[in-house]
Amino acid sequence: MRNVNIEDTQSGRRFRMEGGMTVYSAFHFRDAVLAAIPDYGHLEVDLSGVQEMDVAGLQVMLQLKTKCPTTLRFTNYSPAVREVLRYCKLLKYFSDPVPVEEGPRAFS
Amino acid sequence: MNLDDALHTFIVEGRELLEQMEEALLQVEQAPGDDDAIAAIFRAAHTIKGSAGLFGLDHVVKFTHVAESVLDRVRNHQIGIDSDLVAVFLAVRDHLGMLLDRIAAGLEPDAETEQSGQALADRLKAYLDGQPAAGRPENALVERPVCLEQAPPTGGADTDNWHISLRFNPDVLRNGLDPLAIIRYLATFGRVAHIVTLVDAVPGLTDLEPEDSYLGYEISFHTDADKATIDSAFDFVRDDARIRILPPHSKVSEYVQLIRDLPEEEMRLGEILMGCGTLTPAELDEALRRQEAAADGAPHPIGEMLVEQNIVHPPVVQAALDKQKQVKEQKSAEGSLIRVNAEKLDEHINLIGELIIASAGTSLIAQRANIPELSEAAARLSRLVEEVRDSALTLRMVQIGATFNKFQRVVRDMSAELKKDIRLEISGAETELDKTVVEKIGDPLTHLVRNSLDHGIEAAAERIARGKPAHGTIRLNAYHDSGSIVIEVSDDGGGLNRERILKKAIERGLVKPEQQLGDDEIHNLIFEAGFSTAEQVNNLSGRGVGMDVVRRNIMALRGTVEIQSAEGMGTTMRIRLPLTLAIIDGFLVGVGAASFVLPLELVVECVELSADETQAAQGRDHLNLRGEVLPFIRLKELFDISDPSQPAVDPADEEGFGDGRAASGSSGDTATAVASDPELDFMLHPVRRENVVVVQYAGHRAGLVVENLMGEFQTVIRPLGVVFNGLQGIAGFTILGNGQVALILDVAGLVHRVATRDRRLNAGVSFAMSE
Repeated sequence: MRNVNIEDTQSGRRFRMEGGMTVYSAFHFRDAVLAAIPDYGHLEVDLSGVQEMDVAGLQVMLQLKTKCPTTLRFTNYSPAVREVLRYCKLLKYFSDPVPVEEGPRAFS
Repeated sequence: MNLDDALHTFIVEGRELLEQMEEALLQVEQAPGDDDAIAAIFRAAHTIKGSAGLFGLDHVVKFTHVAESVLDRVRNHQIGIDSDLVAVFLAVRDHLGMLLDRIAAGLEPDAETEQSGQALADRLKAYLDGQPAAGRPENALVERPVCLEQAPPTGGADTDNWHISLRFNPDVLRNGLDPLAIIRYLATFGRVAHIVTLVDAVPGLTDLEPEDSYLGYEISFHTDADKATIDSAFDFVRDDARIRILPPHSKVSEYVQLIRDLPEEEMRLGEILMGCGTLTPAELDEALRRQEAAADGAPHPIGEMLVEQNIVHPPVVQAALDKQKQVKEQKSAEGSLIRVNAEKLDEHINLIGELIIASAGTSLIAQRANIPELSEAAARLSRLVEEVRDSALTLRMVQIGATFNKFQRVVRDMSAELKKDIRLEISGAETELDKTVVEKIGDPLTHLVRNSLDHGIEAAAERIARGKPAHGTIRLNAYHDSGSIVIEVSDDGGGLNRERILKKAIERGLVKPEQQLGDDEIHNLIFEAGFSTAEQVNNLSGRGVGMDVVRRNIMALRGTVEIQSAEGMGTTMRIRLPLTLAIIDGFLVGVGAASFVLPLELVVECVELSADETQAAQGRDHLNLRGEVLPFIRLKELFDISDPSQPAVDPADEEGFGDGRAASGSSGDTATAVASDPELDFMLHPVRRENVVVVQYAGHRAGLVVENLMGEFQTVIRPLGVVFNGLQGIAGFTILGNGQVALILDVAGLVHRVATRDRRLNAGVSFAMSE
């Protein structure tokens, strides 16, 4: 899990992602966050260090958002993440702090 | 698939495509109406752009895109192709080659490259009538004439956008393709108006396989490109995805079909299409209604359905057919070809060389052991080894055509520079030769072609004055000739000026004024280092370096070069090279204790040199062979080989070359008994008998006098060390079955030596092969 830094704060656990969230590392990312879900009230995923993201990374993001709509927050989107979200027209979906009731579907 | 591997493949393929492009360009220049060639140029540019897009090589995409746009117009006969445009595209091809080289070297394009790229792009844009030269990417696109099919048909959807529906297979990421890259690529020639990322298929977090792709995409895409172009964006994922592309204003029924085909729930898809802005709510209602109707109603005849669904869309059908053909060609080529690392092949050949030596050893032992079964097995083994050797050597054989074709460009560019009208004719392109030889022959050939272009072919005025056609012709020809490949570079130019060469040679002290030289000898003078007769030195050739390098390079390949020239008629340079550099069929001969190998292909016949004939030759080393004069060389004298003690047979010798001497050893007793009979005595001491091996090389014959003929021998050529580089008459060595070393004779050198011996003696100037 070389590219996931974990830091515990007062409100919960904070993950800082480094480098690529791609098909090669999405697996680590998923496992790290998944393991923390039962034990922490609030989770924050800081994406400022993400330099590269592909569909594999995006899928994990989407799933985390679906599973923990209220307790998990993505913060500090890096340009690489933003670009992917913009391409997939998912910026709005992720930037919306209140989860959409009907699920992960998103229109731009 | 590793990304580096994929990139490497991209670069290799890119270079091949550029070669095809160049070939097609030169073809188009000759025949401007050649639609196939134009299509080939377009395809090359298009494929490079497509693959570059997948690797995110935006500068390549951007540059190629402009070129492609112009090519598209050429293809549609909106722009005529002339030699100016061909010149621009040749520059484009070179620029792309440079970009690829930089990518291969892991470099970003530098300022200079970008500048030249920009300059070329501007030149290209000039062909795209008055469109703004820079701006949004869409601007660079070709405005296609509106297709009739795309005119809003009644009952069609309102939107101007294309609708693309993508469902990737789970494996797509593992195959090294990122769906996002494709969407990004789409954005290079249009605008993604809306996109809906479908996450329904993504399983719960715990079940998620991060390396699988679950997302689907519905894209509403605004572009002026045609369907074939859009379709081509998906060339690389066609096997990994379900793709449906609907043109703007498609009939509602098509959307119905789309909805029906997709895995998601129908209602949901309808909403998505609406979300995409592809369908209005009313259209959706209509679609759903139709769908129900279709469900209860009788099925439509297929033809009607097809027409209704507007599936028969000529450009698309054409694209599909082209694609199919291309894929088929590619498949068949791929099916019959494997890319193999050249090093692996070399290793394989080396091993076969070892195998041949080992098998020769086995045969020898089998022969000595005198066990029939063993001999039989050994014979079978050597036959198989021989077959393996032959097939392994053919693996290395490549056609010379590709090398020849590169000269099309050289001739074109240089004739423009020299302001001469010169054509290149190629024949024998399918002649095969060893890959190593092909690689090394490029430079000498370039020298020869340049020489012909520059010095050979005269200016047009001079040609006309001589009654020759105004355009000069250079011919490249290749053919096989007794174990060699012959490559000819001929021109119909002025030929070599005998007097001028001779004058220059005397000036330089290469020849004495009183010497009488034949034409061949005078022509060969141009191979002397630093020899140039050109009155003008220019940047192409004429500085006197070159021809000696050519000869040295060719000799390093165990080849020779000869010149045939007729003043005013033209010159032919003939390069003769051995077919392969590694293993040959040899002919083993013995002189004293030493054995030598000759390339079997050069051996014409073997005759006995009787005492009478030796006497008749009167020490002149010429032989009367059925009425012809045959000069000969005594290898014994040439290599100063001492006589083995006579008549006793050296045991080491007998081991080495069993055949000839076994008889004499075993019949020693009888020999004493009949020693008085001279004829019998002669037969029983064949050592005394001399044989002449008649060899032929490049039209000259010569005899080599040896003592023993030991027959055919598969020879693995080993090069001599650097220390022996200066040795004349020896081309290498090999190892015999018994572990002894045999020298391989340089027949070309020996024949040449014989042919020029007398004159050399008289003239005191050496024309021997390697100085």
